[in-house]
Amino acid sequence: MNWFEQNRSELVASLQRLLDNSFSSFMSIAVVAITLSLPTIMQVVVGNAERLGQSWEGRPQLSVFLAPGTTESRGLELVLELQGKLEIAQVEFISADQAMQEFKMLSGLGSAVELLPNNPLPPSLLVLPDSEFVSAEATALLRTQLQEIPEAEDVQLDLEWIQRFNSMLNIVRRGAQIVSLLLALTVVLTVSNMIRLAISNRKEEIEIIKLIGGSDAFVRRPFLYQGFLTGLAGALLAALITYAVLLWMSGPIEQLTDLYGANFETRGLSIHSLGWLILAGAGLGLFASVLSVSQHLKNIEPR
Amino acid sequence: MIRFVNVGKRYPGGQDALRKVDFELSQSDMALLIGVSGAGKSTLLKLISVIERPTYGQIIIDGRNLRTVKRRDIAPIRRQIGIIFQDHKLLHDRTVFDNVALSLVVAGISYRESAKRVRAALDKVGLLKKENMMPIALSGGEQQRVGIARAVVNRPAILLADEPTGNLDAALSDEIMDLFLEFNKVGTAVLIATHDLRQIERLQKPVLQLDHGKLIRNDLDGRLTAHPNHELV
Repeated sequence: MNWFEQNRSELVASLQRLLDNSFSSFMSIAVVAITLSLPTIMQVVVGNAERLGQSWEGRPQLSVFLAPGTTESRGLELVLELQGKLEIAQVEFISADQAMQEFKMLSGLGSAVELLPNNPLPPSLLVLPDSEFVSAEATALLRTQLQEIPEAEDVQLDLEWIQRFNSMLNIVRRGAQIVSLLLALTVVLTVSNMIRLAISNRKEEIEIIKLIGGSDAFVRRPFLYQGFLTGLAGALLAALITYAVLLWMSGPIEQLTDLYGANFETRGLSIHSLGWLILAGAGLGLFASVLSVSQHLKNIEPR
Repeated sequence: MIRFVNVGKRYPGGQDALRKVDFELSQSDMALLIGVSGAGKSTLLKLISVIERPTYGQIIIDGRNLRTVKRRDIAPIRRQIGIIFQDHKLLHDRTVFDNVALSLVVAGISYRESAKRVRAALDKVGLLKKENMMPIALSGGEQQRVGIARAVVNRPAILLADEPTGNLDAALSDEIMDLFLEFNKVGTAVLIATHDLRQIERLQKPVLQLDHGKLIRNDLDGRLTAHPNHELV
């Protein structure tokens, strides 16, 4: 039997052993799967949040706050004037009353606001640049042009909150990386302990195999496959858990993003990410078994 | 085949299990290793199967010194040696067939070739019909024969047996010793540690007699270092 045949035969035997001990194998695989699914879900969530941020970044808005007392007719004149510009896709005039209505609705402070003697909110223009003019330079230039409107008191480029969002996303991304590392360590410890128990349970068999001429590689092989298969099965189950969680969460997430005016669709694991997850699961399982085998197998010698 | 040159073994604690042992067992030899409990018989077999290493001296098998052999070279040496234990050392969660096949699996023999050889070995020990049974369902004598089949299936150059008839009745003991004679006839060197006086007299094979770790009788080189002493068996 050549090396390839021996490995194929051991792979089949290890798979059979996992199936023979289906309950305990499943418990170990489930622990690995849950441990792997947590960072995977975090990564998918971060990935979706990044996409959401990018979709917002792609269409900056400029708010032109006009002097109090600017009439609606003047506001509409400005709309017509600005809509003729090449770099502007859309302009909307929001009167002071409309602004107040929106504020009451969104803030939930309706009754408190009614106590105010007069409306403190200014009328404004909401300017959406043309998709050809969304670069930082183009929006800065447009902002300067809008500041030249005589009634304009302030022009705000609505990117600050996206910048805040991205900063928070960076923190979450770092957090996800730390959690991923810690949970990878947990997978290694779990599989390593499982292999230690398997070695301990098969001590007598290992002694006999060594006595009849089984090499260290031969004795090691089933445990390496056991670790590899547990990691692999754990990764596949983690992928299923991730898909299920995202399926469950996608509705509420899309509902939330709709409220912010983004036509956003959540994405699950890409083929690329799935590949990495499987590679990570199988790799961690194999690594853990190598650690455990090198630690515990050398202590078992025929007596 | 096996050469002991001034071999000694001292276990931690200072007890000498073997002292200055010299003998040579050639390919065609079959010898009986005798001595009372604690004389050093098991230690000698453990040294040949590289379970223990000698404290001093040299044990040469096919030109390799077992005292200095590297860890990675132990498995190939053990594959040249078939070992039979008094307690059989069978795997009780595997069938008779699988137990015997294990020797061939570790040697990397193909499944087809293994199946042929396992059945031939089981036929030789009279257990072909029981190949699918679990060892627990077999009698002590049958389990011993499974152990013998496992030891010989890989056609080892050396066969070691530690009290192979220890728990068996006279008829079964004869049967098993006759199997060893057959293996020796086809060119396997056989060394059997035994207490069984009846077999020693029946087989009429060279004797190596140990007493407190010293080889006091060596029929293999024709030298008699002491008179045969049955009280020491």
